[in-house]
Amino acid sequence: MQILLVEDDAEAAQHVCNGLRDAGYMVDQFGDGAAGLAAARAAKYDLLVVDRMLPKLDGLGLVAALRQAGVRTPVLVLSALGTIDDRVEGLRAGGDDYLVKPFAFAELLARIEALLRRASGDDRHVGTLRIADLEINTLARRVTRAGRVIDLTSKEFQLLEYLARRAGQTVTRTMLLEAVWNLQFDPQTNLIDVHISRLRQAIDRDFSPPLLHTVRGAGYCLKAPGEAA
Amino acid sequence: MCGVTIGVSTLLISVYLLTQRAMERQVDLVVETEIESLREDYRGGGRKRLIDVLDKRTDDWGRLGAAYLLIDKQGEILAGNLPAWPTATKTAGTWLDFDITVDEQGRAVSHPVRAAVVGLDGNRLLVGTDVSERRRFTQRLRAMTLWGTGLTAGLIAITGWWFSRRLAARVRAVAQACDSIISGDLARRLPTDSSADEFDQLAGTVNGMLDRIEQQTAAVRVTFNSAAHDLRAPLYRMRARLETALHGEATGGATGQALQATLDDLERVQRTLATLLQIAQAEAGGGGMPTERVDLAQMAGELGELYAPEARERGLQLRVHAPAPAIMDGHRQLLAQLLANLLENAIKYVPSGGTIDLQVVARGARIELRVSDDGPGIPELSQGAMLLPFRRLERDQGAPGSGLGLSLVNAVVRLHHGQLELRSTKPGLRVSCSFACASAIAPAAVAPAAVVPPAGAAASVLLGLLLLGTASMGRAAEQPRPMQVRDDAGQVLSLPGPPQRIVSLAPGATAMLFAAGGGARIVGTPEYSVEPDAARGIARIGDSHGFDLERILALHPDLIVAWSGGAAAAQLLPFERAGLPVYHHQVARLDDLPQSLERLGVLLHTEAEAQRAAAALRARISAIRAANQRASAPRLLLQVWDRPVYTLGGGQLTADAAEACGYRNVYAELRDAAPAVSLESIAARDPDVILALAPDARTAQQWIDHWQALPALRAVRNHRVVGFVDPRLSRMGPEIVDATEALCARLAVAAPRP
Repeated sequence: MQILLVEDDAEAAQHVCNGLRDAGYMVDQFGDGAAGLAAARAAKYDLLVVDRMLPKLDGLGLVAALRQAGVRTPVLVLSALGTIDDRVEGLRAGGDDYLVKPFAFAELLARIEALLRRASGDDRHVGTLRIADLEINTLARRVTRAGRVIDLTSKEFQLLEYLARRAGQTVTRTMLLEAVWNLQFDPQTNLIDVHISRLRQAIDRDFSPPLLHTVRGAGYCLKAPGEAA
Repeated sequence: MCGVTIGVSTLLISVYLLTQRAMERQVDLVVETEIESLREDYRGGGRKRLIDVLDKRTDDWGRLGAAYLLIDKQGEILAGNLPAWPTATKTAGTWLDFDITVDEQGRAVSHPVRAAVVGLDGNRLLVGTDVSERRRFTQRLRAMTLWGTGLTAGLIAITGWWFSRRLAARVRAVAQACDSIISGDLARRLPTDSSADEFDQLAGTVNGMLDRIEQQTAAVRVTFNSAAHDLRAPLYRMRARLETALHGEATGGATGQALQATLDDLERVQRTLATLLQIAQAEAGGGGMPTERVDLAQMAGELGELYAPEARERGLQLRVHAPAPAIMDGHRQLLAQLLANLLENAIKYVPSGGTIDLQVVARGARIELRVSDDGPGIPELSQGAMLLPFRRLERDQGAPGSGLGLSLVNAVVRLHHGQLELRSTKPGLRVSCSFACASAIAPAAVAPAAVVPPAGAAASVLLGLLLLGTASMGRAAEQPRPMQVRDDAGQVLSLPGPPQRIVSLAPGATAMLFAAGGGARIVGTPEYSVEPDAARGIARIGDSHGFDLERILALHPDLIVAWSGGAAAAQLLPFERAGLPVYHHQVARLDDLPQSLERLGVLLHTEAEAQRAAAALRARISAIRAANQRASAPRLLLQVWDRPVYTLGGGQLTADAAEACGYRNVYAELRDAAPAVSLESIAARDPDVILALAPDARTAQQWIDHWQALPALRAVRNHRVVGFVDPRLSRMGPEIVDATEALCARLAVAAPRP
């Protein structure tokens, strides 16, 4: 996977590049908006990570220009501006996701994975999801494991469906809050953890092997053992 | 207006009455004078003399129009020109009015007479005069007066009404402009025309004021953004360094722990900063953020559900009471933050065993939001202080959190022009926020100043016509006829008429609607809705992860079209609650597409166009199948993801498309699934061809390269691993047929049939 990073803060850029390369991505980095735009137009990248405050051409201008030119590559916008309308502005300009600095690198990684996965698969329209012996029928809203029906509340089902559609990927707490509850804030308490542990009770406690894993420092991941992440 | 009308009317009527009176007076005077004169004659020369005078007078009847009659005690006529004592039509003391009939040129004409009677020693003398002229004049005067009054009043009414309409229109324009400015549209200005009247001057001054405010707000915004950036960038770098350092350290070691603790503190600083920035923004008026319709009751339900497990873990009972929708105009995320803060505070400070109540109730034109608990509460004296930033009670110092919770609540309530109240409920605390309900859709028109139309006949008719005209214009829209339609899932929908404002929840459905001729009626569509090109211009309402319900409702749709396979039934519940019909679009095979199109034609009342499109599609699908018929279909593995390998089951439209090209899906028996499959499973089925449906060429090549590591597979050995990149193949609309044609061509070239 080829990623383009446009960030003018050298130290931050270095950190991100190193982290992404460690995770197996190939990264090209540029320090200003104009160079970044030229690079994005010239070569085909799988994902763009663009900071908003850039010299020569700001991040949103870059994204808007790309969309204008018909480039549909997913874009993750980074910014120190975190107010709601900044986020809305970023998404309206053509961005696909928006991360406020400072963020945990694990968050960045999880969102990149989510964007890459979203851009490709047509699993949106899939009716039934299967992970090992866990079966989720999204049409009938039924969850079974090893043939036994599992009762879940509506929100627990939505949580599970979200995790299942990203099976094998790390999903952060903020992603869950955004997707399942449509809330964009950082909860003080470990709110999501409690919901996850209840879900885990329902689908993992009486079964083997465990499918819902906690990824330290990042979030959660639903995956069958043996499957490559 | 009324005053002038009344004044003019009074004037004219007074003139009429005075004139009439004067004329009557004059006539009576004449008669009185005559009677006096005759009385003199009687006193002077007795009855004989009087009779002589009378005889002389009566000769002049024709010219003078006078009437005389003298009768004696017995009623015998002594003199005069009346045939008999008249029967009076009216008597008033010594005066009487009567009519006499006079023969004029062969015709009998009636003349009104006014006379006075006087007694002379037993005799009675009557003297009168013809008043027909006077009568006629009075009548004409009365008519003129009435017409004059009527016309004047009518003219005044019309002019007045016209002026007040203009005035009202200008006032309304100003009111509307002010409303939108108050709601945050700082770029709006008051309308001016070039009439340079007081209105314009006022508007000009106000506009000048707004210019200043806009400039200052922009300046504040820039400062705010710079501050945000300058504070956050170094925090980001610090975080980066800490993460890098942590990476190399053992997590249990002393350094590792110190680094993690520092990172945690950094997160705390970052959160505090974020909240401060939010408060600052809310206090600055929201920065011109447009508001949206927010159902506070629904939000309370969701947040209650979100915090319920947490509350339970701490031994608290969280109850939510939000029975009916409570819709207001506001900033959704800020309101959610407000609710979250209140709940978090309660959960934090109420000891185990306590209860927290969350209530959202719409009362009249206001919405009451209340969070009450039976915890320790806040002493009365401190309540005001609690709203200031960073304030904590003595006893709560040291608790986690930033101490900013209530200040943010305060700022958000103020931003929404609401009221916040903290009250001790001994035991416990009650926080009440009160907001105004969402404003009505259209502002009520300002009624023109009341103009009372006067009694003038002409004016009434004119006004009546005008009123009738405006009333009939309102009935312009014709009533549509109710209809029933069956959707792809077999459900029957009852609609009041063909839908005009459709929100589509799937890009495929959008494309189908366009093909069926209903593209112009789509008001909302998800992201990635780019087929056909016209769909790019339609408002976005979310994506496969979820829809923005508020945004959808704000578009005022009259029909929702949902993809039956993807949208979970629960996601469609809010639409049912809002009373919106949901049409299910569902196609599992290529052959279902034309039929689905035809159904859409019935729904939209565009049968002709839909049927043409359906027929064309049918023809193409038949052609594809015919061209790719084969005796034995090669076995195909459809790959949609790598590591792990994901494939498509048999109930998938995409899989059906591949089969139309004359191949058999090795995982066809898996219905409605996109399962991950293991390499062992694939090896067991050993397909003849592997089709890599990757998002782009580079990825496709990667997947193909990965397969080369498995020469045990027949497809790999025979070089029948084919990449195909076409996003249209995963669209659930007519464009999939185009993609199928391309796929068949590709397969024919890359994996030719034996």
